[in-house]
Amino acid sequence: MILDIHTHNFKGQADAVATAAIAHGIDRFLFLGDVLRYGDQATQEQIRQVNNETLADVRRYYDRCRGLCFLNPDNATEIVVEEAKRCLDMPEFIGIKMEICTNCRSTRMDPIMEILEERNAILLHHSWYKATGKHRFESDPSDIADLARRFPRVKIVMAHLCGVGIRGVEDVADCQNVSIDTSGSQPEAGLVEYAVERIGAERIVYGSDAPCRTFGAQLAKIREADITESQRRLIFSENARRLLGW
Amino acid sequence: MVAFDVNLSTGRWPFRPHLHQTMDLLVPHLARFGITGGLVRSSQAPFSSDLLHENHELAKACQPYDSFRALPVINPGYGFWRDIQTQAVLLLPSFQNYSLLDGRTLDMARAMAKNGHVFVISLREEDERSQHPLCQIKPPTADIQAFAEAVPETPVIVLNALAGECGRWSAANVYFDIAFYEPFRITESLQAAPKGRVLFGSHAPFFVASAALSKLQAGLPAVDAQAIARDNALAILHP
Repeated sequence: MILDIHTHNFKGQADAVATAAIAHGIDRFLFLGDVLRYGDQATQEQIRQVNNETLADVRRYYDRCRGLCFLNPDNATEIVVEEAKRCLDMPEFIGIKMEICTNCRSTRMDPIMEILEERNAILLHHSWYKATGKHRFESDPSDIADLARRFPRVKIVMAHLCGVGIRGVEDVADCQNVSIDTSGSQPEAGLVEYAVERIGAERIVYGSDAPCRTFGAQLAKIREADITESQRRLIFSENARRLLGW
Repeated sequence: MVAFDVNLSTGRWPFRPHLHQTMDLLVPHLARFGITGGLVRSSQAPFSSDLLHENHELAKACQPYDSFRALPVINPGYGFWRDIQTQAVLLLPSFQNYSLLDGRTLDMARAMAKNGHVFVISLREEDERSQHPLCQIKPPTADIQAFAEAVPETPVIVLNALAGECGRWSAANVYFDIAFYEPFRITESLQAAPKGRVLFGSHAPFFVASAALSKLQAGLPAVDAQAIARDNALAILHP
């Protein structure tokens, strides 16, 4: 079984992503929303629109798809909390996605983390180490580690193994509540093996970042990795199913 | 499917080791996926000041493997380019701090073109975002078209181009590989690309070798897939 924890239902592309996922043998996938459509400061109305579109897209593929609720913590706290609860009250949403609206060291994350802890739901957070400079509020793995230490009972999936690289794995190595998804950038060889050896296969989950990437190339990272078949099964689905309860 | 890979490297990349960085590890690994030959360049050459040494080491490493051909690096500032015997030669302008459009580079290229050489240019070895912060290599994307026009009868193989970059080169002698080429609608994109000018390149051992193969296995007609996998490259490279 394969569960892809990181696909995006960008506007007008959800059906293409779902069709390609199914064609590539992906049994279950998450839609993370059109999280960059409104830049790094989406208003609450825009956030709600993105989540409503995710809801509609998930419903069309509910037999194999769930969604994550997208939030901008810089919006008014009571509205952010209300939107988080609105989404997580629906079976279509099984966690929260953060992109680049707020650096995750900010205390504006706290009310959201408290909701996630209370509901035992995951946070999937964008992260990258960029030598070319990052967006003004973008979080890197050291920021994710800070958040994870402040909220050790919240399950965090740090996105983009191939964007955070070896340094990113090291940053979160001692944060047992952080898993890493394998998406991001090109199909760089050796990173999956490094992560498995350093933090254990139990903390790695498969993600493609489709349609920013192709399923075939991103699946190849796991299929070709020099790891055991049981470790491959953990990465392809068992870890994600445990984290998501799905 | 049998593949000829124009985008292979061997040796120690300065910034991190690769699992299959020696030929004795790389060749059997590639064979698992039907990649039975290719052009191999040196991972040490981009930052070396002794290019002749790197070329000798590369030739020695490839010598036991008939179908894996050493791709020596040349540089207009190093006169040994006049003595190069291989058909295909590698240029690394951004790594070695010269321009493809310098008069000296073009003089070298025109002279080598007359002797039947084929040029291979690696735009990048890593995603720019992941490069060492003190070693930011800017790909010479904008110079490819004019360079190719200066040697119009000679194939210019561009490695590690992004899909958006490939569309910028209309010169009929520009070929490109698919290692960094990853639009979501990969099959449609490859079918729309100029016929005969797309080559198979995996960028192993930097990348997982089967990732590039997966791009040919997502619905591309078999005849088109085989052309990219091997036939297009062998049409421009001597046996």
